[in-house]
Amino acid sequence: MIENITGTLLICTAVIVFCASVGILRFNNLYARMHVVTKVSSFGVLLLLIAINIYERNMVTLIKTLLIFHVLVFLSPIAAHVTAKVARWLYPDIFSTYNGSEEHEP
Amino acid sequence: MTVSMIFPLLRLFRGPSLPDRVVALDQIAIIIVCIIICDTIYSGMSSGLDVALVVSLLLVIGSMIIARFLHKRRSDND
Repeated sequence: MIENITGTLLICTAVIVFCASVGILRFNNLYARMHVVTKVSSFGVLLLLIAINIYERNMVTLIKTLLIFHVLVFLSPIAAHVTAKVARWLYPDIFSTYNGSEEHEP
Repeated sequence: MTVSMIFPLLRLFRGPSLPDRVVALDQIAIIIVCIIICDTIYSGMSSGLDVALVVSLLLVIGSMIIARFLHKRRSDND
Protein backbone atom coordinates (compact mmCIF):
# COMPACT_ATOMS: atom_id res chain seq x y z
CA MET A 1 0.00 0.00 0.00
CA ILE A 2 2.76 2.43 0.97
CA GLU A 3 4.73 1.42 -2.12
CA ASN A 4 1.68 2.12 -4.27
CA ILE A 5 1.19 5.60 -2.84
CA THR A 6 4.90 6.38 -3.20
CA GLY A 7 4.97 5.16 -6.78
CA THR A 8 1.93 7.20 -7.70
CA LEU A 9 3.50 10.34 -6.23
CA LEU A 10 6.76 9.64 -8.08
CA ILE A 11 4.94 9.30 -11.40
CA CYS A 12 3.01 12.52 -10.70
CA THR A 13 6.30 14.27 -9.99
CA ALA A 14 7.85 13.00 -13.20
CA VAL A 15 4.86 14.19 -15.23
CA ILE A 16 4.84 17.61 -13.55
CA VAL A 17 8.57 18.17 -14.04
CA PHE A 18 8.25 17.04 -17.65
CA CYS A 19 5.46 19.59 -18.17
CA ALA A 20 7.68 22.30 -16.69
CA SER A 21 10.48 21.34 -19.06
CA VAL A 22 8.18 21.44 -22.07
CA GLY A 23 6.99 24.83 -20.88
CA ILE A 24 10.53 26.15 -20.58
CA LEU A 25 11.16 25.15 -24.16
CA ARG A 26 7.87 26.29 -25.65
CA PHE A 27 7.08 29.62 -23.98
CA ASN A 28 8.12 32.66 -25.90
CA ASN A 29 9.44 35.18 -23.42
CA LEU A 30 11.54 35.23 -20.32
CA TYR A 31 8.87 35.95 -17.73
CA ALA A 32 6.68 33.06 -18.83
CA ARG A 33 9.65 30.73 -18.53
CA MET A 34 10.47 32.08 -15.09
CA HIS A 35 6.86 31.53 -14.04
CA VAL A 36 7.12 27.87 -15.07
CA VAL A 37 10.38 27.25 -13.25
CA THR A 38 9.35 28.95 -10.03
CA LYS A 39 5.93 27.46 -9.45
CA VAL A 40 5.53 24.19 -11.32
CA SER A 41 8.91 22.76 -10.40
CA SER A 42 8.50 23.71 -6.74
CA PHE A 43 5.20 21.86 -6.72
CA GLY A 44 6.88 18.81 -8.25
CA VAL A 45 9.62 18.78 -5.64
CA LEU A 46 6.96 19.19 -2.92
CA LEU A 47 5.18 16.03 -4.12
CA LEU A 48 8.50 14.18 -4.17
CA LEU A 49 9.28 15.22 -0.58
CA ILE A 50 5.82 14.05 0.53
CA ALA A 51 6.56 10.72 -1.18
CA ILE A 52 9.85 10.19 0.64
CA ASN A 53 8.21 11.09 3.96
CA ILE A 54 5.48 8.54 3.37
CA TYR A 55 8.01 5.87 2.36
CA GLU A 56 10.44 6.09 5.25
CA ARG A 57 8.89 7.57 8.36
CA ASN A 58 11.61 8.78 10.67
CA MET A 59 12.59 12.07 12.21
CA VAL A 60 15.86 12.70 10.37
CA THR A 61 14.20 12.41 6.98
CA LEU A 62 11.45 14.77 8.11
CA ILE A 63 13.91 17.44 9.26
CA LYS A 64 16.06 17.24 6.12
CA THR A 65 12.96 17.29 3.95
CA LEU A 66 11.64 20.37 5.73
CA LEU A 67 14.98 22.10 5.16
CA ILE A 68 14.89 21.36 1.42
CA PHE A 69 11.27 22.46 1.25
CA HIS A 70 11.96 25.78 2.96
CA VAL A 71 14.96 26.47 0.74
CA LEU A 72 12.97 25.76 -2.40
CA VAL A 73 9.83 27.60 -1.34
CA PHE A 74 11.26 30.71 0.31
CA LEU A 75 14.63 31.27 -1.34
CA SER A 76 13.98 30.22 -4.93
CA PRO A 77 11.34 32.99 -5.50
CA ILE A 78 13.86 35.52 -4.18
CA ALA A 79 16.41 34.35 -6.74
CA ALA A 80 13.78 34.47 -9.48
CA HIS A 81 12.85 37.99 -8.40
CA VAL A 82 16.47 39.15 -8.60
CA THR A 83 16.86 37.55 -12.03
CA ALA A 84 13.65 39.14 -13.30
CA LYS A 85 14.66 42.54 -11.98
CA VAL A 86 18.05 42.38 -13.69
CA ALA A 87 16.43 41.16 -16.91
CA ARG A 88 13.91 43.99 -16.76
CA TRP A 89 16.77 46.40 -16.29
CA LEU A 90 18.92 44.90 -19.06
CA TYR A 91 16.17 44.56 -21.67
CA PRO A 92 13.49 47.18 -20.93
CA ASP A 93 11.74 46.60 -24.26
CA ILE A 94 11.54 42.84 -23.91
CA PHE A 95 7.87 42.63 -24.87
CA SER A 96 8.07 44.90 -27.91
CA THR A 97 11.19 43.83 -29.80
CA TYR A 98 12.01 40.48 -28.29
CA ASN A 99 11.77 38.01 -31.14
CA GLY A 100 14.61 35.63 -30.39
CA SER A 101 17.30 37.53 -32.24
CA GLU A 102 20.80 37.92 -30.92
CA GLU A 103 21.02 41.67 -31.30
CA HIS A 104 20.23 42.43 -27.65
CA GLU A 105 23.09 40.33 -26.37
CA PRO A 106 25.14 42.62 -24.13
CA MET B 1 12.63 12.59 -15.47
CA THR B 2 15.85 12.20 -17.40
CA VAL B 3 13.90 12.84 -20.60
CA SER B 4 12.69 16.13 -19.16
CA MET B 5 16.33 17.20 -18.78
CA ILE B 6 16.64 17.45 -22.58
CA PHE B 7 14.39 20.48 -23.00
CA PRO B 8 16.20 22.83 -20.58
CA LEU B 9 19.48 21.76 -22.17
CA LEU B 10 18.11 22.78 -25.58
CA ARG B 11 16.96 26.09 -24.13
CA LEU B 12 20.38 26.47 -22.53
CA PHE B 13 22.14 26.04 -25.84
CA ARG B 14 19.96 28.24 -27.99
CA GLY B 15 18.54 30.66 -25.40
CA PRO B 16 18.56 34.15 -26.91
CA SER B 17 19.70 36.08 -23.86
CA LEU B 18 21.65 35.35 -20.72
CA PRO B 19 18.73 35.37 -18.21
CA ASP B 20 17.11 32.65 -20.33
CA ARG B 21 20.15 30.54 -19.71
CA VAL B 22 19.97 31.29 -15.98
CA VAL B 23 16.36 30.09 -15.90
CA ALA B 24 17.28 26.94 -17.82
CA LEU B 25 20.06 26.24 -15.31
CA ASP B 26 17.55 26.62 -12.47
CA GLN B 27 15.33 24.04 -14.09
CA ILE B 28 18.25 21.65 -14.61
CA ALA B 29 19.24 21.96 -10.94
CA ILE B 30 15.67 21.24 -9.83
CA ILE B 31 15.62 18.12 -12.03
CA ILE B 32 18.95 17.04 -10.49
CA VAL B 33 17.41 17.45 -7.02
CA CYS B 34 14.46 15.29 -8.11
CA ILE B 35 16.77 12.57 -9.44
CA ILE B 36 18.81 12.56 -6.21
CA ILE B 37 15.66 12.24 -4.06
CA CYS B 38 14.39 9.39 -6.26
CA ASP B 39 17.72 7.62 -5.80
CA THR B 40 17.42 8.18 -2.05
CA ILE B 41 14.00 6.50 -2.04
CA TYR B 42 15.38 3.63 -4.11
CA SER B 43 18.52 2.99 -2.08
CA GLY B 44 17.21 3.80 1.38
CA MET B 45 20.17 5.86 2.53
CA SER B 46 19.09 9.15 4.08
CA SER B 47 22.39 10.86 3.30
CA GLY B 48 21.21 11.62 -0.23
CA LEU B 49 18.95 14.29 1.23
CA ASP B 50 22.02 16.25 2.35
CA VAL B 51 23.24 16.25 -1.22
CA ALA B 52 19.84 17.45 -2.42
CA LEU B 53 19.85 20.23 0.17
CA VAL B 54 23.29 21.44 -0.92
CA VAL B 55 22.32 21.37 -4.59
CA SER B 56 19.17 23.40 -3.95
CA LEU B 57 21.15 25.96 -1.93
CA LEU B 58 23.67 26.21 -4.77
CA LEU B 59 20.79 26.78 -7.18
CA VAL B 60 19.56 29.80 -5.24
CA ILE B 61 22.95 31.32 -4.46
CA GLY B 62 24.28 30.68 -7.96
CA SER B 63 21.41 32.39 -9.73
CA MET B 64 21.66 35.35 -7.32
CA ILE B 65 25.39 35.64 -8.03
CA ILE B 66 24.83 35.52 -11.80
CA ALA B 67 22.20 38.27 -11.53
CA ARG B 68 24.56 40.36 -9.45
CA PHE B 69 27.33 39.81 -12.01
CA LEU B 70 25.09 40.93 -14.88
CA HIS B 71 24.10 44.04 -12.95
CA LYS B 72 27.70 44.92 -12.15
CA ARG B 73 28.96 44.30 -15.70
CA ARG B 74 26.26 46.52 -17.17
CA SER B 75 27.02 49.23 -14.61
CA ASP B 76 30.70 49.17 -15.51
CA ASN B 77 29.92 49.56 -19.20
CA ASP B 78 27.73 52.61 -18.67
